[in-house]
Amino acid sequence: MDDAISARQRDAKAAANAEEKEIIERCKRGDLGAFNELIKKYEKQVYNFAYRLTGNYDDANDVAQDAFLRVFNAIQSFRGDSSFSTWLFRITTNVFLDERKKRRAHPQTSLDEQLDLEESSVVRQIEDPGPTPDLLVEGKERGQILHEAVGALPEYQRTMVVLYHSEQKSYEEIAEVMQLPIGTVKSRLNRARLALKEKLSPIQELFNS
Amino acid sequence: MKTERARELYSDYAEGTLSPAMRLALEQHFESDPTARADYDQFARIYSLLDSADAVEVDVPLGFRARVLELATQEQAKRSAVSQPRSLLDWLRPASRRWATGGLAALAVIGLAVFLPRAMSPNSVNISDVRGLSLAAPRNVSASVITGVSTQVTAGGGTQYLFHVHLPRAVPNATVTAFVALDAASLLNPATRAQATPALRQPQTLANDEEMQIPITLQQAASPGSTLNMYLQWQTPDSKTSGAQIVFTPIAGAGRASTAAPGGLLDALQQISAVYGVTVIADADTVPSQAAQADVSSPDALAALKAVAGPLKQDVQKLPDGSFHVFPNL
Repeated sequence: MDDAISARQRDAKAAANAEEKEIIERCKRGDLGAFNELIKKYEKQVYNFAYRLTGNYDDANDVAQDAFLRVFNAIQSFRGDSSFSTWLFRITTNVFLDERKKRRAHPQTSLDEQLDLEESSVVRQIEDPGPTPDLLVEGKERGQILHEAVGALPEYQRTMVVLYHSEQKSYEEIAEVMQLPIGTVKSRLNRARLALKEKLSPIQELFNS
Repeated sequence: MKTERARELYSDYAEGTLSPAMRLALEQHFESDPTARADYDQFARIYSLLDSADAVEVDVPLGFRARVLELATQEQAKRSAVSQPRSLLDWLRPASRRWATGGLAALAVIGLAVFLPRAMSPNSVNISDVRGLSLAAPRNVSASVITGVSTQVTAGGGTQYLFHVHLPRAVPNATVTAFVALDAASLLNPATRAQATPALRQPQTLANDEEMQIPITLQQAASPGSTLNMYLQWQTPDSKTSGAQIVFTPIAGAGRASTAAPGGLLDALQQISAVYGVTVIADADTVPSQAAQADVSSPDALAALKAVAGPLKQDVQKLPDGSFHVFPNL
């Protein structure tokens, strides 16, 4: 029985993949109707990914819109080496990172920088100019606090946290999206989680329940 | 083990992917330093929270897809402005379609139909949620599937006609076919209609929450009194519900038509379209057989339409874009 269900699921997935492949081929021929179908299929996923990266509707709208336009302009170069979903996430990530680069008025200080001391190294703490965590707690749900803390991470770390924990991508998929070695993805994600721990430790009792 | 080295291993430890030797080394580090254990426990809580927190879900803004398609269409227009448009004749060969060569000389590129999410009318009421838009229909309006014709100037300076199509609310989806011709007579006769120029390269499925825009571009000037005419047919998948409409839209710069001899209602409607410069849409599957002649001395298109349609038990309504819909008065 389970085998029959698995076989049906496999068949359904194969049919869906074949259908998507056909839509992509039509897109490559300039079929706007096919492009409309692609947007319809992925708009919610892309928009939510953009929202989780940017933290606000307007920026998410810009990122998602530009991502689809880049897909439209670059669809000819999609060879199917990765899944279309991975390619789309890669494009959305690049749009987000490109737009952030343009906006930066001052050099970004990465938490990757370390100060070497004599016997140990410490990660430089970046002074948070925002309200202190205990002030943030008031009136806010735990999830919202976590969302804001993720939003305060440097872009690369934020992107990886969102890809791994919100979008449920594997390390391998994130490596494909970010075009980085898996080892680099793992170490940067680890540092992002450590940064979140530092940021949220003053209000850790809120997260202990 | 140094603290920073231990911290580099936290994620792997939480995920259970450390080698046995490394796991042992880390656990010995925790045993030797209680603050290190507490540090890791905090990390593990945050990791767990990240994993278990419900991902923020937001709705895609209304009109998002339409805006993206609009931009994509502009991109495509820019690209095609640098290349030659495809000749309709090229598209329609092989030679078995000999009928095409005569009537097609004035028609050029039939563009790709575009599907857009149906835009929300600013006067809509009772919108309960974004997904299942419940647009309250205005009163006393018969639903026209062809909702209007708009024009835009092409990159080459020509005129592109966009035929806007939307299904009646009671029809969730249907297959749409359409034919276009300068000679309306070929569309009005079922025997010749199938030989007319398809406005869609293949039958298209249209959903109720979409608007289809069929672009037609004319390449050369038309004679006075000409209209660009489309016959559109739709049918539900179970074939139980169907409909057909014909639309006459004046060709820009075509000039005033002379009074024509009486023909049927559709001939009269075409003449009114040409003389008054308005788009007229008629339900093609319920056309009365009586003769009719347009009175082009009427002060305006609405009066002229009512004058010819009224006696044949047809009603006339003006659509938001200025087109007119003629339909049976049931």
